[in-house]
Amino acid sequence: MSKSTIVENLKQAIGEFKAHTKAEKVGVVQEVFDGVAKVSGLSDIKASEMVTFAHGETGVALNLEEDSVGVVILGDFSKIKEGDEVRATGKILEVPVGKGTIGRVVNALGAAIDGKGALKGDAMYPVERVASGVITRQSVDQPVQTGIKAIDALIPIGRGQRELIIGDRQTGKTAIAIDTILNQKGQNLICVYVSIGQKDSKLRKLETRLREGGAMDYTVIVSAGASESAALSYIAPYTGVAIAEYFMDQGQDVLIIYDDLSKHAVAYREISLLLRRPPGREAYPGDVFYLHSRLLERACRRNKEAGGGSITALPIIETQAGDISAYIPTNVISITDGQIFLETDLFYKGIRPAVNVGFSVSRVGSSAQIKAMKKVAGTLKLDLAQFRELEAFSQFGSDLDESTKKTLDRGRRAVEMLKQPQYSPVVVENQVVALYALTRGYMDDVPVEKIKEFETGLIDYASVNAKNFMSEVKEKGMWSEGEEGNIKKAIADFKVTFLK
Amino acid sequence: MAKFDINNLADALYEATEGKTHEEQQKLIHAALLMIKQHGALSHTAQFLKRFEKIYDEEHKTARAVVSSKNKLTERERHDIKHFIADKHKAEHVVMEESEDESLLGGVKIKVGDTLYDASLKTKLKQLEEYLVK
Repeated sequence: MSKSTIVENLKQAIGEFKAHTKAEKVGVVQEVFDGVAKVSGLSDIKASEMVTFAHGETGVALNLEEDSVGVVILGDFSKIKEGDEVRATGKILEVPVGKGTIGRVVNALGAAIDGKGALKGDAMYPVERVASGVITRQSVDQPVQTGIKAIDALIPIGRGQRELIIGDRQTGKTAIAIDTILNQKGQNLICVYVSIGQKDSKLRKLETRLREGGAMDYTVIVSAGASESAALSYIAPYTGVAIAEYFMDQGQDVLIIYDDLSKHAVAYREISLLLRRPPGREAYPGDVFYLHSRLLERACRRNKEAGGGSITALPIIETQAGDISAYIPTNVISITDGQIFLETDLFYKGIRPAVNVGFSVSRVGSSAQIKAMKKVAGTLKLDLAQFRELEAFSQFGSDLDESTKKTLDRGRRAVEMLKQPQYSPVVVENQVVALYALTRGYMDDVPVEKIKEFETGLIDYASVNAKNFMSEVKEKGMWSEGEEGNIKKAIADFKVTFLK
Repeated sequence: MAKFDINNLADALYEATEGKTHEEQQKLIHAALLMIKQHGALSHTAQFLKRFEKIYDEEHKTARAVVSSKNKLTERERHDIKHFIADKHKAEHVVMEESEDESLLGGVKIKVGDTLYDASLKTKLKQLEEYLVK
């Protein structure tokens, strides 16, 4: 482009520009500390309204007092000083949303931070929005296939459900979330991963992993890092759900992961204490329940009349020394529709994912499973429960009757089969074949240490010799009468060659 | 007993002094100051005055404005601005405090209470910058 055209373009743009003067509400910074400012004036401000500071920083008005306003500063507050002018914007905090966010990493204000250029949204959505009403909702009846056998078989998650992932540090909570995202390829489910107060190195690793697995084609990452202010950690999950709501409004299904809400509660506690709100139990403010309930309530499945679409939420909570009866864990347990409980002991015993099947539940339950899975996994949970009970007793004696022995053998094989390495989700039809073989007793005479080998071999064998069975399960969700015979035969044939 | 509130006292003093003679007003003011002292709230007298001024302005339809401009205002400009404020704030009296501010580059900035009318050249240039960047 030549110099003169640039000048011409500029001239034209300046010609089109119209300055506007309007009445604005302004205030003056009275004090500022630790990311919080006390501002006088601003008489007509709304709760959660956005304000701008002299150097362009944004803030959110959280405390409205008689003649001052408590504002949390989103971003760098080092340049803000006493006496600075603060302008009200008249708008509730909003973020850019749209198709352009897919494959990107954004911060808590919706701005791109992955160095791939500015992000242009299709619309602006408020971060705080009232959840869909009761009339627009529908019960959950479609599964989210996590690709993790222990979850899909025993603790199924449905589209529109809120399932908590809870456990101590280093028990594989994030791993479950990542595997679930990786397994959504071609499942028509958009994923939003919200990272709250995590190390940037961890996020980088995760993003690379998702990109390698091709998962960034349908994933958005929202990040409020550990080095950023508590205010951004507090806003981040709401930003994430606003991005998710855009896709839901387009009639799409969305999965959102909050990693993790314990750090979110801690960030909110910090802000609340700085704003001088009275502390309650564990120094959390009184509205810490509402903090999470209003967030998780925005997950829902909408009926056709309301445009369809759903948001499935997988919040993560980190416990201290397995204490699930602490304040935040109990709150979130009571809000969600079930929890996946991960245990350190199981993790070190080599049972990974370290899901404690006894403590984990899904209140939506089997209505979120395909029919074939319901059929094969129906008795599995009971088998495992009986196994655990007997396992404890059987350690004392060696003389066991036949039926006890059988339950123990079956249980050991079930536990072995539910083990699964990280980053290797299993598609649902393969899960069904493996579980069919297990629950129908075909694996009872396979040695426990050979179960894994048997499983992989069987899946390979069946995908050639029982092709129809697998495609029926995949497409229709259930096998037909005739095909059941084929799979039985395939398993029996494979076993003969395997045990030889 | 209800908590002593300096704002309530200002409200009460205004009501009590309205329409009284100068002497009576003196007495009331003295009593009010004594009361502030008794409650150990002498450090809050600035707040007390501010509140009193606010009530007075509200009742007498007075608007207090701070006008800043690059150069000294002409009589005509002053008159126009007064009219503008009286019109916008439905005020009968306008009290204007003028100041000069080189950094505005041109135009005026009017502040009435916490409402700001920014018609300075500086802000317009900033708007142009934002527009062009978009």
